[in-house]
Amino acid sequence: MIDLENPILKEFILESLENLSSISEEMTQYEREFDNPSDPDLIHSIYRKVHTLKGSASFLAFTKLEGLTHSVETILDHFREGTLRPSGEMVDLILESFDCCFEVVKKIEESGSEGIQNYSVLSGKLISLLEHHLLNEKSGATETVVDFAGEILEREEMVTENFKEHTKNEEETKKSESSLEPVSEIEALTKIEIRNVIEVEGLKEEQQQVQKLNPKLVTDPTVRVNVSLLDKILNVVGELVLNRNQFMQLSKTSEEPELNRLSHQLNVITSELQTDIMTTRMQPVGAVFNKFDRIVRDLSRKQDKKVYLDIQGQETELDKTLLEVIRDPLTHLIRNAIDHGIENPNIRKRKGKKEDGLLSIKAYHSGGQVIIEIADDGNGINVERILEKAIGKGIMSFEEAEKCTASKAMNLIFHPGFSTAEKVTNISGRGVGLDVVKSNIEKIGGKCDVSSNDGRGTTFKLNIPLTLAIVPGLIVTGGGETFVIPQKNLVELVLLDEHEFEQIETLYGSNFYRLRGQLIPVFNINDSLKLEKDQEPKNHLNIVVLHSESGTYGLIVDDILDTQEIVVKPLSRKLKSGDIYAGGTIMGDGKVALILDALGFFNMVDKGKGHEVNKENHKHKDSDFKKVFDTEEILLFELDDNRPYGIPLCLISRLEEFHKDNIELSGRQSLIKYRGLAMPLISLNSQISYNGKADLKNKIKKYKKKVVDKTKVTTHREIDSKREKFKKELSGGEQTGLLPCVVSSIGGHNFGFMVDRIVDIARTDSKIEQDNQGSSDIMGTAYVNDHLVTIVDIHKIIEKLNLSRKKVQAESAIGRILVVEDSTLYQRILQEALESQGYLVTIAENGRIGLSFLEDSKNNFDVVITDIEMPEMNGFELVERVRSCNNKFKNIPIIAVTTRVSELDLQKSSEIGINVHLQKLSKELVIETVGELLEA
Amino acid sequence: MEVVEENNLNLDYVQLCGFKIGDGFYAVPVLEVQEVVRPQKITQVPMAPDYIEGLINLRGQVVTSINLRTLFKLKGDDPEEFMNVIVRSRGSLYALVVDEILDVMDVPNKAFEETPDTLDNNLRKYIEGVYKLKDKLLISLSIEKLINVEE
Repeated sequence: MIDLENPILKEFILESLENLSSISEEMTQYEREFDNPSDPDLIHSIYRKVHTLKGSASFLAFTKLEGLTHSVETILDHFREGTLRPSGEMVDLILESFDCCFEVVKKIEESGSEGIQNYSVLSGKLISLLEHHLLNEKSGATETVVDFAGEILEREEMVTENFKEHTKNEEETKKSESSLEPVSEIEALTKIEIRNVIEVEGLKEEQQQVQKLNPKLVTDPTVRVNVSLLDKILNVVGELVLNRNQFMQLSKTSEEPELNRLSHQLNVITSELQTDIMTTRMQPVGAVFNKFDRIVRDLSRKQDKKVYLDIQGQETELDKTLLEVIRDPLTHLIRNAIDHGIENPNIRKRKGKKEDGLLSIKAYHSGGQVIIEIADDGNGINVERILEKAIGKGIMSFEEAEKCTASKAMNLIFHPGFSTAEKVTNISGRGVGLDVVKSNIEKIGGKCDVSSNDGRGTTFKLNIPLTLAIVPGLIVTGGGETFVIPQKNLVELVLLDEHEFEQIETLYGSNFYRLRGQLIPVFNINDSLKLEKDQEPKNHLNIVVLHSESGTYGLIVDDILDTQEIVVKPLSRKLKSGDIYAGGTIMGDGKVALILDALGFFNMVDKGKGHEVNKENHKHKDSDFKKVFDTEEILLFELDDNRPYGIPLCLISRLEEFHKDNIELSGRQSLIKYRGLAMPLISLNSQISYNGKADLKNKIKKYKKKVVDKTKVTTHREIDSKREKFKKELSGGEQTGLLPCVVSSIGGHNFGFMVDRIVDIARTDSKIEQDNQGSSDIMGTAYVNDHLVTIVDIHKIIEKLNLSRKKVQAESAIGRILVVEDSTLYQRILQEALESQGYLVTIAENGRIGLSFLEDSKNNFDVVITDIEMPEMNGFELVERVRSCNNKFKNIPIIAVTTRVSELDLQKSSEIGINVHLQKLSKELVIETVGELLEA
Repeated sequence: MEVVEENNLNLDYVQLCGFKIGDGFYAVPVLEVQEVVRPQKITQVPMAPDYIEGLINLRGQVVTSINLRTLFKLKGDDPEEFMNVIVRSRGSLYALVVDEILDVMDVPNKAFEETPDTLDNNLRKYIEGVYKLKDKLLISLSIEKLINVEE
């Protein structure tokens, strides 16, 4: 009994039934047209089918079927060779054998076994008949038959074997075969005999089976269709979709309700047809995945590695043609993973990994594509070595390599002639392969990506389109032309109103847009493609955010029209060089539209930009970059001296207004109930204002004057309304009794800072100039909107007032941290964040001071957090010194925190022994990292 | 129908599709021409070489239109009523933009001559040779070279 779910068995049954279905007709046709054949190859076709059946049967150990087909094959071989004329009896017997074969195959389909009938009688009859005919022919034409008999003996040893096998039957039949005539009689007799056998022996079994007979077994629900026919149908459907689009467009302009109804119907039917046609070509990827078990097993045994293969998502379906294309690339990646990726068990042990390497293949649907991930937990890819090799092989220059990002470097492994394996094995490493993998995947419109954690494994990610011909796309316009952007590259659409235009920042002619904190390059489709620009300036901007392998970027287009299913038409060779376009399509109006290739387009515009940047002084560019990343949002407010003051927005939790009646006093300290807790209120007027106590009347007067001046300052809408409120408040004197208040959380406690007026939230890209001469309550000054603004150090104020009740004490600290940072602001942020977690924080203003702290053995630090760019001694130097000295801090965990993290920085960091390199983005991340390092 | 000579089934003759660009007479083998169509709606291809006029939709097929005047760097402007000679090369369709279509002509093989050295270099790389006819010189273009030669 064989597992009926076995795909091979299923395939066998399907194939055999198909072969048998037409073979009887062909046989009869052959007999009928023997003297005047319309198809001379017919007998070969029949022979082939029987031969195939025999082969598969013997492979699957269906001995009865094998025996039966073998006998038939022997006779057919004579027919084929022209050494025997088919006689009626013979054909009868052959056809009967075909029927029996059919029965057996059906039986196998039902029960998984051949059943209990014995067909040896039939086989025997076939053979004896053959023998008889051969003898008969011999008497007629001695010479040929002698030759021929010898030939038989030579070539058909199997036949003789078969003779022996069936001797018994032969003898039986021979007895009654003393004369030539009764052959048909006997044959008829045997037929009945066999029938009887079936009836008697199979009766019980069959009765049972009839009851549980699955209706699908009665008629075969599947039809085998040639893929080329499906291709043709798909093409026609593609044309239909195109036509539908055109028709839909036409009907949009029509008022005729009937036409609209029909077009709607056409739309629905076409879509349905399209989906159905697509499904006919779909096959589960498991068909390809299943054979990897064997490959992995063989390979890992050959290399003495232990590999556990984990396959997920086998049921994910993919177009048949695509499935065939990805088979080889996948095999290659798997071989690669075992050969290059997963280490020997003892090496793995040494690295603290499980002895068994994990190789996982995962397939899933995502965004209209099938993603196949092949991940191993092996050695990973060493970016440095890749770059070295790339330089060594002349793939890129040293300068290029220096600027290369990690992901770009990793993609170098797809470069033709690239292999990092130390030695060439017979499995992979000949430097051909990955480039072929990539080009094969790209040929079918897919993408191939690699990501890796050095030492921890590599993941190859293949994005395979579901089908080739029809893809959903976004229709946009630029310079009067229509373009299509494939949906798979689309991330999101951003609409900027006129007053938001400034959100696009410019750096040396390149535009950037800050998308939820991430800075992405922005290109204008009109400029990039040198299209004619719309004359009228627009009051809004459409940004299409696209994702490509080289990165995410924004594309400013004139208009976004629609999404549509488009039929991809390949472009001619003449246009392929640029790769800016993925193809063309025909729009509803009959015009051709170009399909943009997100990656090709990015490479094109990126290259153009790269030239410009190269001309610039690099240092200059760097500082400029820093500016963008260093922009600080500052809350502007005024005190009773009417001078502009600011607090960095990142230090502020909330802006509140409190009624003065709610303020209570505790000793000399004003308190207010805030979120269920008493929150100290600090009047910044009394702390830092030059005027001392507020004089309300004076203030109103001055304020009125100020309002006129204030028109200069750009204001935030939100604050605008607030200002209105204040105006009202001030004109109404103290009646409203509301006090604007800045709430900040310091050391885990909220403090309210009372100010006179909140003016605006402004962005400054100027650095906060430190001002050590003045009051210690002042962090420094900064230029905001061309005004000098005093930045208040609220932490210092709290410190001075001794309000921070929960000041971290050395004894209770959960860890001691040295923060080396030149920016007062970040000193504050880090200190606040870390102290709120219970760490004891020591601040050093630059690397030299930091080093002196670390050289002092009296100090105890658990973690060092350092900036990189600092005066006197930068972070890198500091770390190098620390790592090379010989005191107890030699191996202290070091976190580098910088505003901008470039690949080179990261590389350098890991080289000199910085444990983690973070971007100055979130203090939560810093806290988390500190926690992790302390635990480790 | 100027050059039609008798015995046009003779192997000594070759059938060419002739056309005019400016003052010059050009021809391509008639068997390589799929059809000749009037100007169509055209979609420009930004960033493509200047001789690529754009893309046209020919009954659902995308055809790349090549302006021979620009490609050959000839003087003069395209006339209002130009013609597209549709040819196929390596599976893609191309439209050759020409000023005027002449007829299909039977040209004796013996009139063929190698490309004269005096011919402009911009043109030389795209042509097979010339046919010296009674009243004019017919430049025989090679589709293969037109489409696949990188300039």
